[in-house]
Amino acid sequence: MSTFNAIGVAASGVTVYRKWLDAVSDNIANIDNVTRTSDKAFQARYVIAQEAQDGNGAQVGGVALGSAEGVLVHEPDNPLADTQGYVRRPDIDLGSQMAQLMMAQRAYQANLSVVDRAKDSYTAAINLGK
Amino acid sequence: MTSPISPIGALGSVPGLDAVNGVGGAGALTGAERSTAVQGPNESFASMLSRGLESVQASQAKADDLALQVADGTLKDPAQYTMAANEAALGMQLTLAIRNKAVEAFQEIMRMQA
Repeated sequence: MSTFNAIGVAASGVTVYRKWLDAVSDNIANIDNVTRTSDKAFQARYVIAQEAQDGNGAQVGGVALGSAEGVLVHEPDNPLADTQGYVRRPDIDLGSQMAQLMMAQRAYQANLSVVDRAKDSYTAAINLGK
Repeated sequence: MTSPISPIGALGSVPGLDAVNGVGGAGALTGAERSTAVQGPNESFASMLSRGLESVQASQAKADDLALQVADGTLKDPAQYTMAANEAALGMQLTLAIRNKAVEAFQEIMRMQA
């Protein structure tokens, strides 16, 4: 609890959504990873947002991982394919990731505009005393 | 309340100005602190101001640190730096506003006719 608390609270939100953006970009970057059927598929990362312990803002509680099984795809031409011609691909939906990307981006911007408004308000309060 | 400029010390009892203590991160004034504020107005205001300055300096040091991290590319989120810089600037403005107000009050009293 500092003097300019609203800025700190909004900053915690900014950090959470930045981590979500990082997770989504990681998921999209790895969406086409192909692995052997004997190996694990790339596991999508999902950020768990929760209330901060001191009650001021939000924090990242942890990261949940998506399916390690992924999906089996028949690609006999792929050098990684097994004897039946299958490879493993991550079970990530690009549409869902793009929607999450938009949500994270807008929420990041919303928190930054909270910082901006808070700064304006505090400046107005300080100017009142000048 | 014998000192001519004790009204400046009384500033500490104005609810809104508890923010000065907030700058110090020390929370609200305790009863004892308030009474010393009335007894020794000059000293108490000076210590309030210096506490405020210390915390402003701390927030500026934090902003400087983050600026360094931005420069060498170790900071993941540039918004962290801009927000810290904003906070440091606001703290500086608040401390300055209060200091100017106190000096203004002092000069007002000095201009009084005998």
